Amino acid sequence: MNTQSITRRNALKLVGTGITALTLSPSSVFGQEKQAVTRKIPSSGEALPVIGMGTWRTFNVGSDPVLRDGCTAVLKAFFDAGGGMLDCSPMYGSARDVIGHALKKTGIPKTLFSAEKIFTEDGSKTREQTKESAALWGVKTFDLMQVHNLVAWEPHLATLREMKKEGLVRYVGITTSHGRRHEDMEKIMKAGNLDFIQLTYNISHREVEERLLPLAADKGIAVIANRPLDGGELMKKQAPLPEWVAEFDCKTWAEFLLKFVVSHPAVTCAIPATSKLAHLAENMAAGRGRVPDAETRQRMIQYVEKL
Amino acid sequence: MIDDLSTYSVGNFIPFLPASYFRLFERQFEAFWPLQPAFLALGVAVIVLAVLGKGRAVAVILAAAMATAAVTFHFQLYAELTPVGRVFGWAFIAQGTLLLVWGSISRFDSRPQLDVTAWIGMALAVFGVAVYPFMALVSGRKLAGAEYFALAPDPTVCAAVGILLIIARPLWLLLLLPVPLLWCVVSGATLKALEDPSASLLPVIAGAAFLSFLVKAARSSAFRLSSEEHGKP
Repeated sequence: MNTQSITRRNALKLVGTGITALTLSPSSVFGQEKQAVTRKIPSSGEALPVIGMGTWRTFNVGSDPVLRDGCTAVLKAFFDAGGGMLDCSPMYGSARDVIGHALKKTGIPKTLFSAEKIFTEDGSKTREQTKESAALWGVKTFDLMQVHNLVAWEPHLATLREMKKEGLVRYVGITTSHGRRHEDMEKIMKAGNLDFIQLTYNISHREVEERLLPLAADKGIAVIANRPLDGGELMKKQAPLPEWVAEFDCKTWAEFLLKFVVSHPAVTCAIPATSKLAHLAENMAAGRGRVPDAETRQRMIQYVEKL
Repeated sequence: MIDDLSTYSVGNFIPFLPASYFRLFERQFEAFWPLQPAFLALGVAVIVLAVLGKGRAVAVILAAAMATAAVTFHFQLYAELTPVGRVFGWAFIAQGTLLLVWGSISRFDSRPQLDVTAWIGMALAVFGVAVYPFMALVSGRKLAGAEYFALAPDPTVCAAVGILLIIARPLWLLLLLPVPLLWCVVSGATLKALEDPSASLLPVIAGAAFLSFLVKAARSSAFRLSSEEHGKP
């Protein structure tokens, strides 16, 4: 075995390297030391970074070249930081096209976990809309296809399951947002054969903790939390962070709120949306380092409720 | 696709960020630069023509303004962000057609009476043509994103409503005001959802225009009744 003994010279060399590194880029050195948090998709065991990216509003910029470049920069930074899940929908205006534009410029990264949705009342258009979305993204297939807001969910889900068998999608799921149609979602979850659900979960909207999140854990369904920052509303709180947030490597409100969401044992991934690089950096930081334990989560709730 | 409307807010139907919306006006401004003074002059001209009672020319200019806003804003830009753009694009085209019908079959024998309603109309028209472009500054935006009559829908609608209050008769106003007033409400709600400081402006303008229409309609009826009582034609 070829081991290197710690001599005085080696020790000095290591200290010297460390000091140099800290002088050049202390944040990146510390950032890399923190472990990226991943969660396994229960139905496959595949690991997924806990911070993904949503595109509602932020990627709907039409053909505007300036804003398209902005979206491309955000997407590149997301993948550079190890991002995985990118979520979109035909409901999001030009967002699919803008993603396609950005992926064409950046190339399709290995870490991309493409999550799209079916959004049409016509239950016979599942395959057609999937093809349309894939063409707009510039990908051959999607990792995850979801029935958006449970619209015509029965025919769409049946077709998506067929497509999964044919290898045209890897996972299937259903979505809701803003706390709507939870009873329907519960029924579909109980019926089985779902890989993912997507729902609204954040520190101010925790209704799903009662039934849906425990059910997802019980049934082995991965959970995507949308609106983890409550559409930006939670970021408007103008209050200092308590000192104890350092216990779970938290420095910003975005990290605080996102770490709360992804620290729930049933949550697989949160998908905050942003059009700003600075916000993206804060979001991605929430996917690294320690996460709050159950006791700290209660403390976080109490702190936010007092604001 | 909407299961329980009570759980939705206007913001749920706005699928874009404020920056994306206001960039549309910057792009439109860039596309038409340096023609903006010409649109300003056209706006002034249509107000003068309305005061002079030149209804047919007014109808043609307003119809062209509505059509230009429909094509260059709603269809080419706004429709990229939301289906509402296409819907109002067609609504503006329909409004332009209606204006042409109004202009071709109405009689414009004399100058309109400059009563209170007409003065309110004049104020709205001048605001739409000459003041609205500077509203970008009120919202903290660049003048390069200024909204001009006959290009952007808000000043076009504001000016059109004012001009119609000057020159159109109450019965025609019943047909000519709904689309502009509806746009005022929709645009105001959009700006409110985008947290723009000028969000209440267009709904207030719509309210003022509607009240002016009611006053004009009431006076018109009263005039007809009193004329009949006195045996006047």
